[in-house]
Amino acid sequence: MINLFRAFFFKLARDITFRVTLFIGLGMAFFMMFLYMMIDGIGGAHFLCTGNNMFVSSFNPSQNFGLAIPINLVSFTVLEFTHGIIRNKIVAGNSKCKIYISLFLTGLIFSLTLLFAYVGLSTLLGTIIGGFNANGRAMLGVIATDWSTVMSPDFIWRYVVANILVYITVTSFAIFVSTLFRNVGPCIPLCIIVAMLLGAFFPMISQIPDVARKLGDSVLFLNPFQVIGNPERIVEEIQTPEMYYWKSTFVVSDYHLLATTICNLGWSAIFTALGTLIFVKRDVK
Amino acid sequence: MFIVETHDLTKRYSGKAVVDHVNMHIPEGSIYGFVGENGSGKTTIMRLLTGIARPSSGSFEMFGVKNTDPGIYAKRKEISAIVETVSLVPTMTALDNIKFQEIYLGIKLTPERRQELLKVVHLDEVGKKKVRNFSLGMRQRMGIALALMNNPKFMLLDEPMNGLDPQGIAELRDLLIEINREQGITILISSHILSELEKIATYYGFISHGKIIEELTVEELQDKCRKSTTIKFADIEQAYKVLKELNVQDFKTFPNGDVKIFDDLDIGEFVSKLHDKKLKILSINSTDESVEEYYLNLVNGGKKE
Repeated sequence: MINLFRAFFFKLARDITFRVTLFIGLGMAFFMMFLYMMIDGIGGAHFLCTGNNMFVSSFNPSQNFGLAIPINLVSFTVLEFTHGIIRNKIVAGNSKCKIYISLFLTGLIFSLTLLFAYVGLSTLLGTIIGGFNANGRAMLGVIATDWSTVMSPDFIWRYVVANILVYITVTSFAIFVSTLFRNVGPCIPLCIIVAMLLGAFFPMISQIPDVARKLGDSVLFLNPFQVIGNPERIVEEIQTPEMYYWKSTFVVSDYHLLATTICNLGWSAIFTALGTLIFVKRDVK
Repeated sequence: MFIVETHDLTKRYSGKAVVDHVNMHIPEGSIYGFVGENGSGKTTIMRLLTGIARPSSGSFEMFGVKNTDPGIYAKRKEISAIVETVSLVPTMTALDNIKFQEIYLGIKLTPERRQELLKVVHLDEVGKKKVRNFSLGMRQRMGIALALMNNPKFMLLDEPMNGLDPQGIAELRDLLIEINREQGITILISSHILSELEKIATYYGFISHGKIIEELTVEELQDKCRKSTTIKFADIEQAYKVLKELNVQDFKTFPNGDVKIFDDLDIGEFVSKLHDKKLKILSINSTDESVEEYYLNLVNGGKKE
């Protein structure tokens, strides 16, 4: 297994896919910052150009670079099949089960490295321009109203853990579809559609009161993106002699963290088990 | 002792058996020439032996270890293979491809050994050229270099001569003979260039439509590839009668007027007898049957498909 990991990183270091993806990610961080500054300039939405906003939004697996990660992971994995690398690994005496698990684990390192590079740079740029936990403005707020969003260290570590869990699911899904189809053609649209549904559509419809009532907490255990798609926000009304404003605090409760852990590890286990089974049973071309 | 023995090895795709109850025996130290038409199942058998494909039924033993035994993974480290196409990372150089394969084979070669491998296949001067810019022949040679990396005990080479120029074919032939004789590496090799196989194989396996028709040593094959005399007659019917009269036992007639006689003949005396019988001879040829002819006779009575 160690040799399979070492081989993966040797290839990664010499492969253009990873470097190009990293370059795109870092470029995208600058682009998003530039875009937010433009919006800020036009509409006064200066809450966008803050470290805390960039931190929360750049993790999102269903938009921007969050979508590029599984796409590139799929390309990298499919090439392992089309270049015959998987075939060589089998002939070299590695069991298919070991090969699949090594694909998943190395894919996870691939995803998380890219993700944290992007999130890190985005947050840094946002903080340089607008500060972190900057006074007065919050994401998704009504522009006419003053908001203050507080991101505590407690929220930050919980949010990071929740996102790592989400990217474990994303990676297991990307490796699974790559093994299933061995062709980027169906894999890439599938990754995009699933990410859109889980990250945008389902969290959105589950906000509808009737739907929310019917779904109850089950959605937390079914949709792996649910918790990070809808971070809980505690809103307080604060009045000082100088101004009146709303203060919102993001939280990821113990219950939500537990739910997202069970949900994501569950889905990851299902995709990895199914992928291993298919990989072991099917012939390699 | 056999390096590989298969027992009713079968592979079906969509219900159709492409390898059909094959019982194959590859003797240790041999160069096993695997001969068969396109789609006969040669590549599929190699895929089954290397673990790339799973048998539908039947089994095989490699180095005495059954394919279902977990010990087969360790034994596979003692083999190397080129099956269908050479698997290379196109974005890497030849040297990096060697280093890459070293890692997952779990071996460490010295820089000198790496250079030596590239030199053996005449790729020592490609420098930083990426493999994607290699010609078919260069890729094929690169595959041979990779196959030699782990000092295998058993090599499976599927059409390794494809894409090589005549000089490359001759060099590969010499290299395979050398590693077989000096290092005792057993080689399973398939090739459509039967004249080349004839020069290196010490054992033959003939396969057609997924079934092994015959396995034999090169000596047995030589005995079977009979010497023959082919005579073209103007009148084949009359020739048939005369040959019977002259008590010729073993011959075959062909519609184009050819008669192939396998009896040991004194050509001069025989021709004079035919002349006495007023038979008109258009041409006469003495030949030894080649592996190709033997194979064609074996699978379809001499007709080329």
